[in-house]
Amino acid sequence: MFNLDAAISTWRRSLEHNRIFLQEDIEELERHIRDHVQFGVEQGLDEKEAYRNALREVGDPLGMEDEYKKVFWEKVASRQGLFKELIWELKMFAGYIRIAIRNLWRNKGYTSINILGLSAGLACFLVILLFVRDEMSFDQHNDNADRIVRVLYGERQVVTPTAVGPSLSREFPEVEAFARIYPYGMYRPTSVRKDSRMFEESGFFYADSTVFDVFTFEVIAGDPSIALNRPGTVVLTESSAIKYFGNENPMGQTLSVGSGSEFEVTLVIRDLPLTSHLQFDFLASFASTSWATREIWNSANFYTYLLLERSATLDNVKAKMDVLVNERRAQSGGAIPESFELNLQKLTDIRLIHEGRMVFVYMFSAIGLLILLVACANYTNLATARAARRAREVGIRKLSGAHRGQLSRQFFGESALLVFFAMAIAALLVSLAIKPFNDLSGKAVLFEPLSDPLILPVLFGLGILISLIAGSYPALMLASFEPARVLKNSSRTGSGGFGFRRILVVFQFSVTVFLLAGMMIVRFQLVHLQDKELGFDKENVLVLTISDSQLRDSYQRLKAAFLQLPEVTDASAVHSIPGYQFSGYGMKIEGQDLEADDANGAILVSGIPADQDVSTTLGLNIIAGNGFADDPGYEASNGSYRYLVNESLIDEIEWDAEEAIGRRINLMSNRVGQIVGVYKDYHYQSLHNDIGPQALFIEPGQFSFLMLKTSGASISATMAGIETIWKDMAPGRAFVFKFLDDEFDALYRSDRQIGTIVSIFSILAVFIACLGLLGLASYSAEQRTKEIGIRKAMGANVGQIFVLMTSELAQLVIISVAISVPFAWYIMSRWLDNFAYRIDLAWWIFALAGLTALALAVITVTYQSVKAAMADPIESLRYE
Amino acid sequence: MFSKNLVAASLQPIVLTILSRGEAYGYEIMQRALDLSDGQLKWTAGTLYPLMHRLETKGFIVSLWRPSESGPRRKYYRLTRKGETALAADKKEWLDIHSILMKLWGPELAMT
Repeated sequence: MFNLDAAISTWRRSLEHNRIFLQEDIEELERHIRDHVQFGVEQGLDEKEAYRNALREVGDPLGMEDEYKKVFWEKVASRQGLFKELIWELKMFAGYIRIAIRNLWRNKGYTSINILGLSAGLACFLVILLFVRDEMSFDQHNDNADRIVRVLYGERQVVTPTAVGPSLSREFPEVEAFARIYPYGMYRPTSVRKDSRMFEESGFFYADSTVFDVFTFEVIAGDPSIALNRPGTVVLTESSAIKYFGNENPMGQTLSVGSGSEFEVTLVIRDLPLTSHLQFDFLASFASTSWATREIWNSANFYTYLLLERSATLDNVKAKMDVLVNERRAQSGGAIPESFELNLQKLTDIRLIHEGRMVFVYMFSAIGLLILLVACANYTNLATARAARRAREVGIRKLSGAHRGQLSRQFFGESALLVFFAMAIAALLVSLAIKPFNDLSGKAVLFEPLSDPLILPVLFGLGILISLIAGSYPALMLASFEPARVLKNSSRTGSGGFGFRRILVVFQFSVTVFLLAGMMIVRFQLVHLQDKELGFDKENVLVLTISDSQLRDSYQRLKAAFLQLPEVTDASAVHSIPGYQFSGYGMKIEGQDLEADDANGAILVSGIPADQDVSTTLGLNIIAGNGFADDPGYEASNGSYRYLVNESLIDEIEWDAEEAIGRRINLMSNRVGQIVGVYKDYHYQSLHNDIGPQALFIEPGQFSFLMLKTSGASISATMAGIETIWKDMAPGRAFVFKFLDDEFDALYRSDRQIGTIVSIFSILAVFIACLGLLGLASYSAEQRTKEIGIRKAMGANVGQIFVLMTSELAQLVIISVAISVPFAWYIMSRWLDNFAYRIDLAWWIFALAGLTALALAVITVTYQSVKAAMADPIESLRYE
Repeated sequence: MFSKNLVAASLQPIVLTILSRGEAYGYEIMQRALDLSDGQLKWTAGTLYPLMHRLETKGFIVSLWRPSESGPRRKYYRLTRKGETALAADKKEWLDIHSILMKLWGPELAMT
């Protein structure tokens, strides 16, 4: 018997779960149906028939829902129910989360692979973000960072003549302030003494008192406006203040510098941030030097910085500067050479452009983004693959009345939950990794996610973005399943995203091959640098500093004493050691006016003062002449200089080696003498640079280092012997030594750091990609359980099944190799162009990278494939 | 039967006109429209009620629940001052369109 009330209450229930229909809407509709039924009955229909008519007339629930939805928000807003609605939405969201957690927990393997991959990817991205920000923030701590420029001599040389700063400041209204900094200790370590404490300081610089108008320093004690305005004053950094004065107040106390000049401490500042290109420990007043009153144009030893007016443009000032230089040249009567040119460089360009760090910023940004993309691709891939497993769930949900929107919200919710969980783990990973990373990169990057204005917004932005991107494909795809099809045949539905997943795998492996190839090339290049024949023997050479005048004057006694030790085979005093031989001189040759002071027609050469034993100590290969004569009484004076020159120098002049011997040259100025030997080129600077012309000459006044060549046997005994002699002959001076090979290797520290960091991130990226593959392989094995079962039942063996499972993967990896090799080739060629001595890119490096990627991929999927291949066909055929 | 678009467009003026003759509830409005049009204007509840709700949020009509002599209570709708203005505007629009069409077609064409 038909019961109208029961039928109506069933109908009501179908609407009640849907919040689009308010309670009173349902009531209104119910009354409508009842009226309709009544009308039907009055027309002579039976109640059941009339009810059916009524329902037909009301319209199908889905169409009705669409209509009601259109007015829903207006209704809610006009009834001030907005807040209640939001609470409802929130509750609904909590519901999604609850179901999400349940789902994720049920699939622990999938969840952990996903979270691990994503959090590792995010952690890498964050570390790289911090690295890049640190590089980009160099010198930004200066209040006027955007208005400070450095004057360059020519295109790249950072030291300029004394006259540049004052002249520009006087003549150009655009120049608000200038400061010259004389990096004295960099040329030659300066001895600084306080009572019994004495150290050789390479961070002892001089600066104009206006340095505080240009740069921003954090003052601890003293008044910067008067700190450096008279001779004999010095500014200390916090560290050097503690080094010399301990707990005492250094203000007003004096330090003894060099051969005994007294400097009063007038200011103490905080240590310079590591993100300052300018690094010094002492800043003495420029007024203390003899340069202070001499404005000259033809000797360049000083950094010049300008603070420009707000309205000034670089091009404008540069144009005016050219005019000024031309005027001065005309007046100089040849003292300023034709080639003399000044350029301007923004303070903020120094690190990134001048020092070439932009390459690394680009490189790391690219790696960071690639890792992030690989991690996202992983996530999406795993989620779509799993769509098949959830197809039934989705089908049943749909049948029980879930809408497409609710389902996609469910999947977005799961995606978001996972992503934010991964973020928390990523933050934890970064906080653990940041210290090792700092040690490795020589940085002091802080990871303070809560107080850092960058981290949280970036994290949340990324979180939402990744949830949306990575969650959208599965969410939309799953939600659009046809329930009937899904429930009838669940095993086919996963193939909908198969093409898409293949694209993602190809993408991941392209990145993998790219990074592997890049990593190998960086390694090979570094090994190449390490193994490169340098042209001198850097092994077992000990370096002592003798730059304070007392030691320098008595270097021959010191040297003789060391040579008494049986293990010390050779010794030589030099101005600078290989790797660091920068000082440049203008050289004139026979046929030019040797004595004249003008620089016209001079060749720029590296000129290194050294004593007569330099060639034996460094193992230089003399190819012509006899070298410096062993002549202890010899003293160089104008006219009687002796020169050893390298092959590049005679090549430049187009002499051959024998012809060069006895020729007269002058290293400007007043060093007229003759060539007594030609040696084979050696790498006197890092392998980033080509070998240029070089000349060695004897000038004891410039000696700063004593190199001791030892036999290499019984190092500790040798060191003990050397130390005893040092203590005896250089009393009160700390025994500080270096090894030549270490010093030379230090030139590649930054390359090695970059190499190591690139390797680490590449390995992580590869790891993340493999994780994704692992998840995918297990999915694929599951998908094909039945197929494999049938194949086995028909007689396929384990090997055949394994090949079946891995051959498709192999194809994808080969496609990836084809895609990534051109990119890797191009980008790595650009990187190698930074080196004067570089490896050639061979095809086998890329083949090796491709094979490695393939091997990794196969190893990753082997377990799953073998497991599938070994499975008992009866079991797999029973599988549903 | 009318085209779907025309039915949708005419819904508001017809509903407002019916209400201008006194308050009514949804089913009643629908029946009247059906009677008036000799069964040609057949709306569904899914079209009518959302429209009623929208008119209510616009302030053209107000609703009130009244007990019924038999069965559950009914929701009645009544035209407001604002609704009357809206109806007048609707009326003018429809008549304007109508007269334009009449001019276009002329007396003889209009007969076909």
